[in-house]
Amino acid sequence: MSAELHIAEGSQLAHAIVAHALSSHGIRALFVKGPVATSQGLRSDRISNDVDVLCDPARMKDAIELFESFGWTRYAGEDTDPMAIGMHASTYCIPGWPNTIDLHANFPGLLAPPSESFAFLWERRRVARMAHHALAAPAPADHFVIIAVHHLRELPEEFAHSARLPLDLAWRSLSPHEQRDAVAAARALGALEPLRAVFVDLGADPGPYDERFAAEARTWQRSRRHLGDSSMVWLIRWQGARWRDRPELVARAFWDISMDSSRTPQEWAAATRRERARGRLRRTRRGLAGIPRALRGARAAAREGNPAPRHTDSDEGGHTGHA
Amino acid sequence: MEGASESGPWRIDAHVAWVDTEDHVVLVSLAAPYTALPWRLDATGSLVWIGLAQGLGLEELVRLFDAAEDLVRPGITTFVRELSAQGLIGAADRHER
Repeated sequence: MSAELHIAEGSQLAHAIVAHALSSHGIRALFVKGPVATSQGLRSDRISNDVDVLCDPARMKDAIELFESFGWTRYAGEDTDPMAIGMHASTYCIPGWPNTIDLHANFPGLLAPPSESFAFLWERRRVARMAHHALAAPAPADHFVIIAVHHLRELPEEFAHSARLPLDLAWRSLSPHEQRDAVAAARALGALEPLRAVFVDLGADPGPYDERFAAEARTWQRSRRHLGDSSMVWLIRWQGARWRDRPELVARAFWDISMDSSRTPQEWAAATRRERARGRLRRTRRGLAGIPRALRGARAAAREGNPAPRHTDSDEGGHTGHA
Repeated sequence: MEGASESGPWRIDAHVAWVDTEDHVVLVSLAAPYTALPWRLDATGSLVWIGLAQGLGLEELVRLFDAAEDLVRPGITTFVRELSAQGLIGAADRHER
């Protein structure tokens, strides 16, 4: 026997590990994207490094404590309550494994309250098998909605129509009944307006305008208008955070070098004190310089009648939690 | 052999996750704190493992190999004992998946 591990093998095994760990502690979780989506025909069979888990939002803190009790390492922002500072996910590494585990409480673009979204998805869940173990996955129609909003959030608003091509395979894998169901699921999850143009492009009728979640929809649009602008991301987090969480938010934004995406958290941990100090200085300068631009964006949004969002989030890079 | 008969059949323990690729099997025990690194079996071990998963007994496992049975049997017996000792397999009639 030997302990070599390829990413694809590790991904399947890590799915089974996370499912076993969470279910053993009564924490409900749905496994999304990656090999689970492939097993449902929603995605081509390509290697995926991550395990994406949508956790029952009410048990997110328990899940985080559990992972940390195992000695799994937080990818960035150690000791942070990711929900409190408006991050929708927290990334973990199992020491020695090539895969990362993204623990999500919600997905940006699902604008309904996270607890409602999760309850809806859980009620309709399916069983997927990974590494000869059963785990819970969203129904294919629901999974399409998650994949679509996830794909869309990385595209600037003006390129929304180009979202169609990569989603074609997922859409065509659904039966006509499931395609109609995907539109209904998008409405239930508050993702109908974010996905309206995509549904139209795919030939589906999205139905009447969904008036609910208008404020969250504007925040979603604002995030997409400012893709890659970490100042805007932190400002949105600021607006969504409770007052008591704001000092930590500021500390993370300006001081926590592990959240700076110019290096991985491990590289930052290995950096010299001087390198970290220079990184913090650079991060602070960049953050301060970005504040006027972010405030202009916020004022423009306020003129459109955009109140503070409710823990809606956008990531600032390939990985959750970087800035 | 602890917890399993000498002749099988055996069952893979419910707390083992495993992946079989074209030429090998990788497995890991699902036990807290879940920090154990997976095991990659070599080609021979992988063949035996997949046979075990299919519920084959010792003599059936021996016949999977194109070699003299008396030469193959001790190796398989030792391997199966090791798997059993590590809790990765057990007697088929006493485990449920």
